[in-house]
Amino acid sequence: MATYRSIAYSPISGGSSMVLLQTSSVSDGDGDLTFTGLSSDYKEYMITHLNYKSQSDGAGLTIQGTTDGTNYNITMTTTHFSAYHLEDDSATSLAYNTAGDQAQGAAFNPLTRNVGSGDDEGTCGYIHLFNPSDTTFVKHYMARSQANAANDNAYDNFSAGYFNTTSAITAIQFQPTDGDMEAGTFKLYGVN
Amino acid sequence: MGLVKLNDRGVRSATTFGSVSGGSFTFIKKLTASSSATLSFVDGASDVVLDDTYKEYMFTFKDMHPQTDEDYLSFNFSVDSGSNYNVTKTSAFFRAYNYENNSDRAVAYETGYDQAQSTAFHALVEGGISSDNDASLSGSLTLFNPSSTTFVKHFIANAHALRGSGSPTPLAINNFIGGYGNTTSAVDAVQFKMESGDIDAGTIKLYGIA
Repeated sequence: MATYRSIAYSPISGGSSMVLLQTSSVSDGDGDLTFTGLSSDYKEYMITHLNYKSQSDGAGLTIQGTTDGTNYNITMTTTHFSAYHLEDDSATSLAYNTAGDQAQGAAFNPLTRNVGSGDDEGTCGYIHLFNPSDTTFVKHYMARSQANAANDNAYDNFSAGYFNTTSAITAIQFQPTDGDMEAGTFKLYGVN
Repeated sequence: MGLVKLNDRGVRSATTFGSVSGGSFTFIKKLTASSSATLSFVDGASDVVLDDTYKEYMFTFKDMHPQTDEDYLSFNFSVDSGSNYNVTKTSAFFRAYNYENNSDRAVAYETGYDQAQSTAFHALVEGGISSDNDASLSGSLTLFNPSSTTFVKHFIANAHALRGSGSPTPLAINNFIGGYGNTTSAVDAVQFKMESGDIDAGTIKLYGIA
């Protein structure tokens, strides 16, 4: 029986099904954060965001893609629903958010809204993007983001949809809904 | 890191890959319940790592089975290495369910199982898990940046269970929980237990995500 203690064997890259490709940290005042270089190397990508927050209290985090490396304006149709619960127990909700979806819109799409910007506040979560380099199908994504919302509640956001293009998506960009970014770490993984 | 080339024979002969590098999910610890009152993951104890080595940790549950019918599996955090599991939490909780006889189905927020600045153990399933021999709960709990001394500690969970061994019929119930441990102290231990009785069986694995 052979036991290999340390292996880097391209393209298996350690044998894991999830390969960390890039880590990007937000600098206070950044207007956006972009991951380029999406390719056919992976049929699925996952992007995580850790302790992200904007400069503006209550601003959300949004996503768009590009097929030409320049313009982030792909037509999207999406759904968005969320559950929340206030710290003072005064309100709860599970509801569809019409302000968080798009119907053939080309705007940046909210992943989460109303994120608190207090010292200990922010949002964590992930986005799965499927087969972005495909030139036959639309490009599906699914996301979940848990936020410490601006009005002190646990805010669990679910966003999903598709970029309605058969062109390959080569990059993904994140922007706040208002103002600039303040802090956070984003990681891009390829999923084998 | 240098590239190691393996021929077909080398790959075919390799039956164990120990401490594989380059991956993003790192297995840390597996605990198996056997009439256990609690299962605890404490940083620095029994090979458990739950510190700033990783910014994200995932617990997976496989076939968690209660000794007491309709007990729910629950969790709590500790900031004092497991001396006290009582971190203040605020969370949202919703679930979808469908009865085996198709008599009822729904998706809705569940106010009885969320938390508002509570220090109690947090349920991972509404109601509980059937104690029928073939019933159990499986799912995952992701904990973000537990070692931070700046931010609250976000968590998201998705747990699916077979519940309701009695009337009217068993049901599939899919539970979604998102919330935060409202502390800026480092969380260094996580404990799981059933609502009242013991954990009859099941495994919980802890992974670090690089």
